[in-house]
Amino acid sequence: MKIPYNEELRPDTGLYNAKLGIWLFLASEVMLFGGLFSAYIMLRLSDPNWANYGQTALNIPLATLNTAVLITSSVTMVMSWVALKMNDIKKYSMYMGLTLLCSFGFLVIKYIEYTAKFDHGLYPSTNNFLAVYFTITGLHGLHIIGGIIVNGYFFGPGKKMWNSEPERFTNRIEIAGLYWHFVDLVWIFLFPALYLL
Amino acid sequence: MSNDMKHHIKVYRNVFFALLILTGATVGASYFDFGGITWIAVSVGLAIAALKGYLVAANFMHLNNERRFIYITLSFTVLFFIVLFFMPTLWHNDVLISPDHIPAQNGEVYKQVDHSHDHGGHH
Repeated sequence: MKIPYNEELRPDTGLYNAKLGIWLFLASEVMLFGGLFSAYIMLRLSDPNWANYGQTALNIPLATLNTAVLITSSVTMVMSWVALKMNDIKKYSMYMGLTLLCSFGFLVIKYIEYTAKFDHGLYPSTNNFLAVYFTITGLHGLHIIGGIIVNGYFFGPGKKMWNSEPERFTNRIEIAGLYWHFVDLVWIFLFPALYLL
Repeated sequence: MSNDMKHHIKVYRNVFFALLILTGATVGASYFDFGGITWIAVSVGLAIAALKGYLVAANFMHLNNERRFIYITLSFTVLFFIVLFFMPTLWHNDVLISPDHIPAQNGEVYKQVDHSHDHGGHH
C-alpha cells in the first residue's frame, strides 16, 4: 500500500505531508533553543560577575571559520536538492558529499575548541558563562551529528530510492535540507551571541 | 523548469556571498568600539544576525514562496517565542546572588528584610 501525500500535495494544506511535519518539528526546535537563549540572557543580565568569566577568551578566528564552513554546507545542501530537480544524481552525490565533509569539518573545529578549553581547566561547572556556552553549543553539536546521520543515509543506502521513486526522494532531500538550514540558522545567532557580544 | 532552476542557482550563489560578507561584517563590528555603549554593539550584532537569518530562511528554506499553512504555523511559533523571550522579565528580576532575596529552601526560613529604616519611619 502506498503512503498518501508523499509526492502529491494534500488539498487542504497545499503541502506534501513531510513538509508540514518538518516545519512543526522545527517550530518545537525554535522553542528548545529559544528557552536556552532566554536563560542565557537572564543569567547574563543578573550576574554582576559576568565580565570575569572569560567570555573574551573564546577563539573568535576558529569560530568565524566554523561559521563559514557551516554556511558553505548549507549552500551545498540546497544545491544537492537543485541537482535532483535537474535530474542529475551524480551532481547530487557530489554536493551531498561536500555537505557531509563540511559537517565533519565543523565538528573537528568544535572539537579543537572544546579540548583547548578543557586543557585550560575550563569546564561547564567552572562558571555561568561556560555552563551556557557548553550547553548551547553542545546541543547544537548534537544537532549537527543528527544531520550527519540523516544526510549520510541519503548519501549512501538511502539513495536507492532515486531509482524507484525519484520525486519522493527529492522531497526527502528538501526536508533534510530544511532541518540542516535550521541548524545553520541557530549557529548564525549563536556565533555573535556567545563569541562576539 | 530548467530556467527556473538556473535562476535558483544564481540566487543561492548570491546569498552565499552575502552571508560570508555579513559574517565578516559581524566580526569586524565586534572589534569596533561603539563609544563604549553596550546596547549599540549588541543591537548591531543582532541586526546583522537577523539579516543573515532572514537570507537563510527566505531563500534556502524557501520561506519567500511557501504555502499559507506554513506561515500560519510559524506565526504561532513567533508568538510563543516572544513570550518565551520575555519570560525572565515577567518575574521579579533580582540579582541572582543577592542574599536578601534567596527564597526559602532546605528548611531555611525566608528572611524578610526590614526596610522600615530606609523610608524614614513612614510605617
